[in-house]
Amino acid sequence: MDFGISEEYMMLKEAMREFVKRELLPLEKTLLERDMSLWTTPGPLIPKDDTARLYAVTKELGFWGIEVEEKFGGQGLGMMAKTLVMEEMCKSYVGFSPHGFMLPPDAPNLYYLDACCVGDQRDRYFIPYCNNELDSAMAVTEPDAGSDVSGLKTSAVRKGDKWVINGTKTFISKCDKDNVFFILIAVTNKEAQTKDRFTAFLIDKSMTGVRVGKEIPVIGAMPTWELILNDVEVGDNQVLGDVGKAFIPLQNRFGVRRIELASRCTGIAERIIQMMIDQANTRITFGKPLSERQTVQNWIADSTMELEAVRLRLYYAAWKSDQGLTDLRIEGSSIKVAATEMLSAVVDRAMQMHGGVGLSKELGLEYVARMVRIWRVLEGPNEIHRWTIARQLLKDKKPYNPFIVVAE
Amino acid sequence: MHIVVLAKVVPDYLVPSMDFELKDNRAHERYSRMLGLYDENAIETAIQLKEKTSAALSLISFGSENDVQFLRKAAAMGVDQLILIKGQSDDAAVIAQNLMAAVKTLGPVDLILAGQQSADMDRGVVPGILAQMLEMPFIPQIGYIDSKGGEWAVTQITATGKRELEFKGPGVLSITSIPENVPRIPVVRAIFAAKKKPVTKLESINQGKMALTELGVEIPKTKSICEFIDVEDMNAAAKTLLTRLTEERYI
Repeated sequence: MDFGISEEYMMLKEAMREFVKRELLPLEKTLLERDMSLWTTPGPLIPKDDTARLYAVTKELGFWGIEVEEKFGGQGLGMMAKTLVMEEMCKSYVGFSPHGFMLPPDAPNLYYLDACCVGDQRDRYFIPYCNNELDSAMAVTEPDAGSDVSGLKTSAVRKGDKWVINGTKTFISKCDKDNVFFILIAVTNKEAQTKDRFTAFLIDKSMTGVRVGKEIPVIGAMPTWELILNDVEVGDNQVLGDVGKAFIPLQNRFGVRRIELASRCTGIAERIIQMMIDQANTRITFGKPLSERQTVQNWIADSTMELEAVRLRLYYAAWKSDQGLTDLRIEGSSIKVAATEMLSAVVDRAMQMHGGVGLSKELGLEYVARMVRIWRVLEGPNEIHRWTIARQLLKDKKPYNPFIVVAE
Repeated sequence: MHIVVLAKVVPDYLVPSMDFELKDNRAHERYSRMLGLYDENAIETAIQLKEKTSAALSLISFGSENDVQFLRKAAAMGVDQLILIKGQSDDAAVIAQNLMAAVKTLGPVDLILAGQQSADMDRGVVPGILAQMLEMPFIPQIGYIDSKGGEWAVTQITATGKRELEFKGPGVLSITSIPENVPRIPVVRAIFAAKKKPVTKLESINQGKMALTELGVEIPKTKSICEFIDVEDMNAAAKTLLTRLTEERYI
């Protein structure tokens, strides 16, 4: 087994580290201050001019689409390279927060769109999406249906050669963006089994009958809105994929998404452990530095062990993806759970160690704590993922097998 | 045209020196290694010159075989080929002699650039000795370089001001840092292409003993005292900081 890292990967990490130092760290104060006024003054956390510059610089450096195939304008370097770049980028709050700065294009949605876009959909949606001219948001969740999609009520009814869509979606992100389109899931055959009941539609914000409802404040920086569809009429050219088969290609999107989410957690956790080390070495209480207190030492040791356990598991999942193995259900679920719970514990210890400053909005730890609290629910609650893992193992009647023989 | 840039791989210069753990009188191998600070400014300056003049650009380093992985960053930034002389000497004259031998393998060269001082020893003498050995002019602390019809126009930057200079023919320049030579971040494609660029490894010559014996190396532990300055008003804070630094005779 080879745990060595290639020179190229090290240089890639170093290049991103330098970008973070030059461009993202100086924007942290802006992000944290904007986050405080988000609900009274809506808008992006990073000013538009800065975002435009970050896009330009990262495009020039070749950081767009690290894992995206070259035919879509990406670098074709795979998930391991992407993971290493993400970890470095997420050592800054700006890179860590999906509401700070994200490297386009968002690959999970890109591959979903690539698998499903046909005819002129490729020119209207897929290519502009690859070029970062269009953004996309999933519109699945409804008041009565989250992880369990069987409760979805939004319907698309056939009327002549059109589909008429009615319903209300909730917790939908990116509704404030001008260039967003939605991948909306609607019931097209109520009587059918779950696997044949739902169809995905491409919905533009500008379509008649589409209305963005009220913003839903939640614990952290996750601006989401209600999306209301009132007699929205679309043709067959807005159907994404096959009628009745919305969820089959959707499942393939998740493995990559979870590797990315886990790398956000491991990246920022490393930064937070650095903050803990610095605080322990410099803060003196009752005549001794914190670093000499056993409890503080335990916090640093436990955080390191937990981070490194997740990190190796994450690299394994990324490596497995690069071997062309696409069934990453157990790996994706386990790193999603392990990474979010690891970061929750690490950031909580860091806040405790920093005392009052740890709770302050100025230091940023509380921002991370709120963000990761969201992530234990988002992208499938952790309990659903545990269920996925256990269900698979119980069905196979065998423990998990991580061993893959490398082809000569 | 052929430009040569000299570079040295050093232990992480971001680690405060008093934190270094020594092993055999040198930084323990667990500290990460990297290109020297001014060396990167020299590499960036050389790449900009290469882009302006379509010159060939070679990097020469004196160090250990393990340094190639760190020198490769220069290849990713835009250097055409890497030359490593494998040697361990700390003697500036021995290093200069080896660098000269490597330069001579290249045939005629037009300009040799180096960082103004290494990030570990801070001596800044090797380029000067090399220039003397090569019988070329040596001009230290250079910021800007321009090629003007067979002549070089350079700007020397010191702590107190700058000086415009001109010279003909080859020369050795040591490079200081200016806003225009902040090292570029290598682009992703160049990183993955860097390994395809040629690396030549040379055995060192005349690796004779230094004329002096190293008896010991010590890095004194300094005590740091932290003093907070109120920043309600930036101007007032700057004034307070200046007053404090003057009082303590740091400036």
